[in-house]
Amino acid sequence: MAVIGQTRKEELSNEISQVSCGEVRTFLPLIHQQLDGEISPEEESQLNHHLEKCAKCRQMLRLEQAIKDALQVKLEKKPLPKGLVNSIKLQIKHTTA
Amino acid sequence: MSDTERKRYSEKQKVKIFDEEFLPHIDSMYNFAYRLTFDEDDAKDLVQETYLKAFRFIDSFQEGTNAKAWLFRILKNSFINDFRKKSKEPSKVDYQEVETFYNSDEVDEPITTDLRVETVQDMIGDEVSIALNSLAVDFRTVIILCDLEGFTYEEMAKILDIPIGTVRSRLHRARNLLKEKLWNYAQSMGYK
Repeated sequence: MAVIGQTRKEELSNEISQVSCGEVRTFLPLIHQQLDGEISPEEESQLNHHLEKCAKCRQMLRLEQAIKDALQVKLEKKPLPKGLVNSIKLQIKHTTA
Repeated sequence: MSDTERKRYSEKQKVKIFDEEFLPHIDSMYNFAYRLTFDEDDAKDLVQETYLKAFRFIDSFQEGTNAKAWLFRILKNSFINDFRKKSKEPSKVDYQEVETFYNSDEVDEPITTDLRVETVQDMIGDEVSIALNSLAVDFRTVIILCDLEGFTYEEMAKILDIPIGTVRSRLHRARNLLKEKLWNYAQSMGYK
């Protein structure tokens, strides 16, 4: 029974170390740069190599992408006030007359 | 370059540039102005002032270049000069102090890692909007310019008149703050 408990403890410990990342501060900026299309080939290679073995950072990438998508898709776009374009053109006409 | 050597557009050229290169961006400009001022009338005035300035200084614009970035820079500067003092900020913030603090290498702000993808996907627009609007203006500006308007870091550096490195670090900070806001909001609303 003690042997089984110890094995389970080791399994949990391995599982936790697999999903925790002590390097998120290093790789989160690179994740941002990759999502923005502003990452160099060297940085991307470094990031992808890390993502292959880090579930936590893969999850962070998914989260950052979801937030970016939410901003782009869910935010309400304000309609342009009626008459604004004409008002601008009229003012320009007056200043150049 | 002297005044005689600087290219000057004819009135016809000016109108053409204005109609074909400046006006197509007015919707984006208005939405950006609204997210800065939180007031429809102020946003309208800000956009109007920006376009008047753009026409006044149209000779300094190179035809066929990035009109959107040029206009956004004028708008940003107009906001800082004329509107910021009366904008509806949630609290008075010394922006230089905030900037200095957040760009310090000593800052080790927590990074929210518990916010779930599904939680974000389940949020509605108003909730995301509240989180974005609650950020200090310099932080929500970089998120708007990058994620909503699609400017590159280089373009943002020119619009905001800051180094590219500062664009990068400010975006990073802004996104961490936004995650924290979304997480706090999700907690308060009972999202799992």
